Amino acid sequence: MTDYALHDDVREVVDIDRLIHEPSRMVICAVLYGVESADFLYLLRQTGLTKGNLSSHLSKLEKNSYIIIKKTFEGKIPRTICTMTDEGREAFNIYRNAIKRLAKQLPD
Amino acid sequence: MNNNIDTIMQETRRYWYEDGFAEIAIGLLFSTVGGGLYLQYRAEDNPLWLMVVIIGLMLFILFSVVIVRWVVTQLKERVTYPRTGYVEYNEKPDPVAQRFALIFPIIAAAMILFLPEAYNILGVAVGLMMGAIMAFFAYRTGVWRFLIASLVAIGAGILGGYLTLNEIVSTALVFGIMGIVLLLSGAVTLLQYIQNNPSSEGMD
Repeated sequence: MTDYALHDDVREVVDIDRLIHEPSRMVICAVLYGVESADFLYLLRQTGLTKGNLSSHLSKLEKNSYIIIKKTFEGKIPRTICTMTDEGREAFNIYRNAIKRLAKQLPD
Repeated sequence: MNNNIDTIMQETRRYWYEDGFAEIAIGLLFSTVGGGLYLQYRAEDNPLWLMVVIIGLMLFILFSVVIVRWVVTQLKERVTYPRTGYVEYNEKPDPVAQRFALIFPIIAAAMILFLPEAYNILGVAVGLMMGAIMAFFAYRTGVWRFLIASLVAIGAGILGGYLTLNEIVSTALVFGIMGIVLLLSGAVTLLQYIQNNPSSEGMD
């Protein structure tokens, strides 16, 4: 019985969404999950990444349909808006619950 | 890890209050309501003036709900977003806040039904209610300076009760003092924000 439980736990670790699990992308997802949208500048400030690195992580999330990126203008100032898709929200929710369960099982 | 996720999500909620604009606007709103209530008390002997003040106050509260949000958004668009980035919040109401907001009408209805003499301690009740609302905001957003406004509201309510002020005057006192405290804390927050975040237009 315990063995099966252990196997399930191990499976959960293996099944964790690695796209979200990368720390920088996890921060991006946690920010976007709680809001309608956020721009590049805000994400840059929250993640502490360089512009190039942030662009690369955002592209990966966009490629997997977890986020949508739109380029707009506010007056003459360009603004890159990132919005989490329903698919991204569902994936992040699953990831968050899995992490919660795993954290509870860790010894003190 | 999970704690980190929650902290990041709370930080994003807190961002709305980072520049102090919302506090300044709410402070102005509360101070005006406090002033209006005091005018209402002063106009009690003049029915025409009393009606003008009551209708004016009601119209002000109705319009200010829409105007405050618009003004704050416009100020953020010019000052905050070019400096530290743009965030658009979900319009869906917070379910915990909704449940919390339901408690007060229930308590008020119960007091009117079972404790009619409670009207005499209206100022104390309003102070406690506003204090509880500000404490809840502090807890939900992690903006702990709201706790100062919470304590001030409770203190002003109790002071009004202690001085046995007229119920409208003590309510005006709660709104007036709380409004001034929010105005001051908002102004200090805005100054600190501008100092810490010099303009960086076109960073995107």
